[in-house]
Amino acid sequence: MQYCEPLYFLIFLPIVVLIYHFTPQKKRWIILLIASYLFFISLSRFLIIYLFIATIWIYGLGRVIEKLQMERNEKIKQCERAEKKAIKKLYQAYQRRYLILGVVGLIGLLVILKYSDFIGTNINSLLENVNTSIPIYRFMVPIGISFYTLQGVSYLVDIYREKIQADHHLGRLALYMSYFPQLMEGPICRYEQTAMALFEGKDLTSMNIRFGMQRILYGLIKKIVIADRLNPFIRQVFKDYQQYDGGMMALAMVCYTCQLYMEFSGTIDVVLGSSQIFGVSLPENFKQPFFSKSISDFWARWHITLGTWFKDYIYYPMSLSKPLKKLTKWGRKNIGHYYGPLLSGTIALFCVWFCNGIWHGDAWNYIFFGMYHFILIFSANMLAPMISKFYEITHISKDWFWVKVIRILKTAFLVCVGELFFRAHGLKAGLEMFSKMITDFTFTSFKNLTFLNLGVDSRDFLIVMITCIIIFIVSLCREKQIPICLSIETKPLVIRWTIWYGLIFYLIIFGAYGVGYIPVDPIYAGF
Amino acid sequence: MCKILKGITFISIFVVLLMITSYILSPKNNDRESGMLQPTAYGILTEDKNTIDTLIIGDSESYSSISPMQLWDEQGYTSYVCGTPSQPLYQSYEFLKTTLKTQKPKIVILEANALYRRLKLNNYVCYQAEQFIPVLKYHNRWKTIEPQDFYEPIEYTWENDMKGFRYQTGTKPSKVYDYMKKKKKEKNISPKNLYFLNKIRKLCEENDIQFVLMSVPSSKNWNHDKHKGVQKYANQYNIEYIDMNLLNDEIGIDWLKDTRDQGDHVNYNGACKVTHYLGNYLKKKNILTNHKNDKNYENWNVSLQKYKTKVHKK
Amino acid sequence: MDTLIEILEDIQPEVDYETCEDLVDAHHLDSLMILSLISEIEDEFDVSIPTVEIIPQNFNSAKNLWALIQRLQEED
Repeated sequence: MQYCEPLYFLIFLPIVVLIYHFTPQKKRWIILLIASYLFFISLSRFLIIYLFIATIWIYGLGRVIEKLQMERNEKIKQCERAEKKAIKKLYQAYQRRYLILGVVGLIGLLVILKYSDFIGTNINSLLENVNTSIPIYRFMVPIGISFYTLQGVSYLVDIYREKIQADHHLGRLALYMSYFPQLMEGPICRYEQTAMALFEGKDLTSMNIRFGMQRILYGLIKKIVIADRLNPFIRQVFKDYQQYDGGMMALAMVCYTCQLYMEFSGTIDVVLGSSQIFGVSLPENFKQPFFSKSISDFWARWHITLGTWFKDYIYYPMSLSKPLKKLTKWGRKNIGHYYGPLLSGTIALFCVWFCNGIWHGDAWNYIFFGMYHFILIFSANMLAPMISKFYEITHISKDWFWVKVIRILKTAFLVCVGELFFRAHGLKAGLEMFSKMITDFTFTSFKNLTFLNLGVDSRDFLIVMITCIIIFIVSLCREKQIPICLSIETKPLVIRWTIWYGLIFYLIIFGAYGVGYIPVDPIYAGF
Repeated sequence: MCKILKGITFISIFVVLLMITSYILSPKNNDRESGMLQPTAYGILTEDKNTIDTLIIGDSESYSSISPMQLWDEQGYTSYVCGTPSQPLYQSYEFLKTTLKTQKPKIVILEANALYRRLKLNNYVCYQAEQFIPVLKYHNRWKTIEPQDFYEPIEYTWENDMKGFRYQTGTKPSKVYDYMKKKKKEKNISPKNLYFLNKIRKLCEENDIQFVLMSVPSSKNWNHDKHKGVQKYANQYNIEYIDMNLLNDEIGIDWLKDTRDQGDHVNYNGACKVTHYLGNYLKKKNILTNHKNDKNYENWNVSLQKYKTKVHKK
Repeated sequence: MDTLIEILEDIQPEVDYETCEDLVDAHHLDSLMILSLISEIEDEFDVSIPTVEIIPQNFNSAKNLWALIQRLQEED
């Protein structure tokens, strides 16, 4: 079962909502938990055992760390001021031990299940010269492991940091780890964001249901009208890229970026909409990413929950660790106030982007994708002083309309190139496609219309473009913070209903489904 | 109260809109040009009432291997192949039900390859929805819609001279010969498939139709484990099961010449041999009537002429 | 407080720190700026800012940041 399938939004979700509604408030969390586990089982069957292990693991270790904290507080109350620091330090060391155990356990399981094949293959190719090899194990990977593992880690670290208290209720924690709308593709939530709201079992309200359904419908249009419709073209060009010229590479690159955005953000719309029906607002994962003016801005708007996770649990802890703090101090003395902190910041940034790349999958092109963005952000940081000088000298303002447009287009182009490598069948194919796009760029395929013969015809492209324009307008309103949903609410009934019918029939008629269409597999569920 | 009334109104308007769009987007005839999906299989809708004696249902194996026109030519039996690519069993069941509305077949043959297809619940949901709401099935016709689609009545007139068979030539040899090697195992039919298989079997029983399972030669899709699984089911319910994969020599299948895609499907050459064998098999049963000289079946001879020119032209 | 605003202006001069309440949320301060800010503050006020405290809320306005520094100084 997947979010954009009728089985989910026409059958599974309504049934869960109905049962939820007729269950007493205190027991509603049980319904959500059962639904979540059923959802998981429908996708990964008995691999649910891994989810159970992870849940019990963080439950136990969370309790242990909390116990240590209570013990420490007791002791501190009883002793002299002078000893306090020593006790604090001692207990911090204890706690850290359990935290490390917990995190290594979670991440270790993820690495073993997901990356042992990749690591083994690469070690073997290194060992080839000495004629030995290690055995490679391939495991079946449970759905959503990359997402719930990160949630588990954040839970433990937040307890360690005393930001939250360990959960004494195993059921609540289990629901936090497995909540079905977010199970497969995120957003990656924090314990304090969702756990309590999920457990509360809020009543359904007609406003939540309407807004939730609107959001689901909007997401389905993105996914089924655009992403699925572009699929045959993208598949064909990326598969047989040797046959086409550079112009086609560029078109395929733009189409893929569009598809990826529509697929991922559309699914997230379905996810957030589903959750809103239960009155639980999950954190937003997208904030109009294609209005970004720089790559780092882009990553603050695209897959936001992953970005903030890396920031909070890798970037800051690393760059503020003792050795890197020393480096910052040294740097500020010797190479100036701007470039000094950049030194340790860059080291941490490198790790973040390495992790980001490998998180997406066990292949070199994903690592390359991470490194590509690392280099873009790094060079933007390096050049920042010069660029602001440039603006100063030329008296151009960063905020002039056309300057903004150029910056947005530049960022979009850089993102598209990154996604080309992301999608290509292996790093080598990605590099070949990219060089082809640069060296062999012609408009021949557009003039002789070969681009319309790859399963996506002119009417398909037309409908994709119209839909993109509609979505662009909606995004523009969001960017300007015009509340569309609310303004629809205040309109007379006839207009409201017309909008509803319009959206539903737009999806029914222009959706790319049924005989002759193969929907895109959820791209982010594979990560 | 007001709220309930509003809800009912909203849904009623929605249903009306669904009906209107369904009408506009439905093909106005049952041929490919009018936008009919899977027209070769749905050609059965225009066959004269109670003329089809044998119905063959199944996936691509069925329409690649069995040529009703050849059966007519050789034995004078009338048959039709309601085969569609990757046909799941619930669709086979639906075809049988549709056929029974206008026909009284004496024998129904199910091609067994579909028994091992993985059925996805979501696809079943979608399929059922499409049966009820035609716009879901034909929505893609927005691309080719014309003014007359808004007022013309829906009338099926196109007759399929091939009777469901798809004429496919070309040869890509298969080098797998020992695919029917005996093994101890047997592959069980999954519960979901079993559910629909039982439904088909019962529907046949209720209508006094003899239900036959058949596997046509396919070195890529078939093996002895599957054979055993189907045989077990056939024994359990006392159904006949012909596995032509065990009879390759008798039928005369030459895997170097008779397949178009390395053993996945037989080509026209292979289909002739398979159909010939099936004809003899049906003759031995002695329950079908030879209509060759029946005046009411004159149009079959007309179709046969068209079929022959098509087949011999190439 | 004045010292803090001086530090802030040194790092990102384009903002009015007396009034701005969404330094992080509106992307006035990026992560790199926060890093330099932390090291400046730690030097200037002789505190150590733990990672737990690096949340948007603490960095969204000069006022909140000042409150954080004072809290940390007291705890020490």
